[in-house]
Amino acid sequence: MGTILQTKDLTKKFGDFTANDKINLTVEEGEIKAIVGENGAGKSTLMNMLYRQLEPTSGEIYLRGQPIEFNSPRDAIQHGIGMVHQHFMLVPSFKVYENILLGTELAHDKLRFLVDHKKEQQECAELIKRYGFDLDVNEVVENLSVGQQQKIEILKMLYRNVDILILDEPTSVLTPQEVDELLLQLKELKAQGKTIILITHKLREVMQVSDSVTVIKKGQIIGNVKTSETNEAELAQMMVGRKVLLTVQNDHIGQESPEVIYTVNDLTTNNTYGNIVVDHVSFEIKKGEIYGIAGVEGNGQSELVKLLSGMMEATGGTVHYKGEEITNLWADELRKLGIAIIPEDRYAQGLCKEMSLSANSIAGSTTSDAFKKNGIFDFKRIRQHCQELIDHYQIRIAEFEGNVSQLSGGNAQKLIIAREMNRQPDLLIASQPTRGVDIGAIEFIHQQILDFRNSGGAVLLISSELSEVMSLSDRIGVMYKGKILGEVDPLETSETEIGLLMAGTIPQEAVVYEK
Amino acid sequence: MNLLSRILYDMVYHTTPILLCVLGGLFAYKAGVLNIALEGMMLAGSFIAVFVALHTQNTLLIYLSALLVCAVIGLVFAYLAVKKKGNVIIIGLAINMLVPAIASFILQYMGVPNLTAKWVNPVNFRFDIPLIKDIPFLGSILSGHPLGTYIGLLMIFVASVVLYKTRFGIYTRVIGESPNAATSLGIQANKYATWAILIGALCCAVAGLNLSYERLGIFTNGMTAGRGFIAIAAIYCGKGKPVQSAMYAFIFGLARSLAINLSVFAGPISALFDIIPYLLMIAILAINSAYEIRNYRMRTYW
Ligand SMILES: Nc1ncnc2c1ncn2[C@@H]1O[C@H](COP(=O)(O)OP(=O)(O)O)[C@@H](O)[C@H]1O
Ligand SMILES: [Mg+2]
Repeated sequence: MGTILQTKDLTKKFGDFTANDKINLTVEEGEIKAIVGENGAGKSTLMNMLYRQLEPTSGEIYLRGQPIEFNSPRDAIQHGIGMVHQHFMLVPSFKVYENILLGTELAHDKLRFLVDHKKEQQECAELIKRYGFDLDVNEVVENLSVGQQQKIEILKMLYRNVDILILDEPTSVLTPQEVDELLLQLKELKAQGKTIILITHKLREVMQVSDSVTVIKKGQIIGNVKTSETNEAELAQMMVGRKVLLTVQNDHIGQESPEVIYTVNDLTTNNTYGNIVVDHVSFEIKKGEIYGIAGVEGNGQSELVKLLSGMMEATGGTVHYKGEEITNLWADELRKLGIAIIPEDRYAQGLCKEMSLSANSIAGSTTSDAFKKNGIFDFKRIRQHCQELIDHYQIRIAEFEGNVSQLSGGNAQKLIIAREMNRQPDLLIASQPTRGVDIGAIEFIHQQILDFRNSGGAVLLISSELSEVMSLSDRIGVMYKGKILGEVDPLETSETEIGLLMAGTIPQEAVVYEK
Repeated sequence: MNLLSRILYDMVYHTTPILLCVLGGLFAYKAGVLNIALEGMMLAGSFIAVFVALHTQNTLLIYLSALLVCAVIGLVFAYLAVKKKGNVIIIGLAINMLVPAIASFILQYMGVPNLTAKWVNPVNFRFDIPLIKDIPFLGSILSGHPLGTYIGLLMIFVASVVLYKTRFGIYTRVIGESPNAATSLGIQANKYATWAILIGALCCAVAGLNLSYERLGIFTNGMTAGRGFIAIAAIYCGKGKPVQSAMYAFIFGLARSLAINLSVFAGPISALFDIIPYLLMIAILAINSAYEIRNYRMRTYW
């Protein structure tokens, strides 16, 4: 065995910003090395340098003791380093086998300039069989689930016979069952002699499969430990730099009253291709209740939020709020009625990056008289308002007059939450509220949502982080292929049961209130 | 020839330059580069072909010079757009304005309103295809065309094979659809984008040459009359697929043929018929995009 991959003072700068600062990483042959760190810690940057997709600013990489001289992903693959990216690198309109063989097409025996599609199909089918994957080579990639797409990515690398397989946050888009399957597959690959570098910020997975862990924070390695000698709490503390609560304190006793405030009935819409993506969705939310929506990403949650926040039109069904029909109202009308919206993509829909903090702090309230004097914006008043939000919600900023682009992901999200909560809404629609947010801010955001619920507010929480939905919600609807397949009570259900629902099967003995 | 076969023959005849532009231009479209310089490249081909024909009767030389000049323009476009990441609209516009400006400067310098290669007799350029010409009806439509037309028809097949069955075509489609997938596997996007643009330029050379030299032996400035833009419309409507895009090229060719053949009966307002292809282009684009967005439920602008 021995060391297979080593970096020496590896540094990467983007302009003035140092994303990786003198990284000395050592990976042993045949191990599963986990690399953990918060969002933005620089994990992907480091991996992209190992895979030669990014050029290091300084420092060296040694492969089996030799400094590497190659300079492109293609060469990296030839030298046995393969990578499965966080964002898949597949061609959606191509078939499975075309994607697996992309870049190494098989030539026709006689007409060398032509690609032999038949031969490619056979070869891929054999590869899939050899590694015990379950895929149809002739399926078009865009029709496949995320879990299946990930298998293609792994197969792509296995076909190229890599010894070191880097996986960048492979589990963030999978159902719990798919995660378990993947982790098993990784162990299997390790048994076949492959070295695996697994990047994640989910500590449970680290504990489950890895042999050693490297913790990265703000571009620096702050610890190397053997998995057998550590635990989740210790790793979390290393990641954040202080003690953190891994789960929020939720007593599940809001002031839940029988009064229904929000009713969605048979809501339906289609996407650009004419396919139904939200399919007769119905649910109710009571005052003082958090209704969670779980599901694998891409099962209609995103479209449902867009419908409910006025960004998309429903083709059928109704939405009632406080007894009034509000179907297909626009976002400003919804806000006026007391509905707060934390959108899915904070920079596309929640904030304007290139505008000032104070301008962003009144977004959605620009028609309100509170910020005007004689019909003209009162900037003094607006700045004051912004400062109040910053103080009250402890938003960390660099420069008050600067733009939103100065904020880290967590603080940008806090600004949205501050703005929305400040309107004192009765209903909060929160979509992926902690995506790409550091652990410290996650704690804060979760507490905000719980406090709002405890003070009698109603919350619709949509998240692809199952643990988030499970720990916050009072009731959970699981979405699959545009439908709410079943409703469960988080206190009476398990991850396994929800996982089955997320994968489209209704578990037999579970306490599921079928829709 | 009766009216119908006359109209259909003319359809093929008038489709030729558009068809060539479409089949060459779709490579850049598939590679994710919007090449609006097709028009300028075609005009360059028209000009050079007749200009060279003033001095020589060597067909090979005429073809080569048109191809060469368009290749140079194509490389300039590729260099600025792909290598230097310039704005393709502005680069394309520049080429579209520069080419006619240079052409009219040379015409003025020579003191002529247009270039005429007197030795050219277009009838001599038309030749029959042995077997096909004997097929009743169809023969009279498909046979008896200049070389450019046959190249165009053949290109439908060639483009399909190249795009779907060769590495070059596969990579060209990949860099257009998911450039990150391409780089992650070491497929050099710049290289394939440049070749894709170059193929378009070469096809435009043949299209322009067909328009001026093969059909008339005359070059007049502005003679491409928006055919390059019609080609872009056809590529868009056909989503860059060779057969579909070619079909749209034929629809525009048919419109032109109808305009010409029917104007005989129209008397003084016959000039109005010339707007048919352009009206049709607007109509097809509108219908096409209305059809595309029929299921669009988003309230965002784009
Ligand atoms: N191409 C780039 N240009 C500028 N900054 C970048 C670029 N890529 C990443 N960064 C920055 O580097 C930091 C580390 O990013 P990344 O490696 O993706 O983090 P992680 O994968 O650990 O979440 C982030 O702050 C990110 O904004
Ligand atoms: Mg990352």
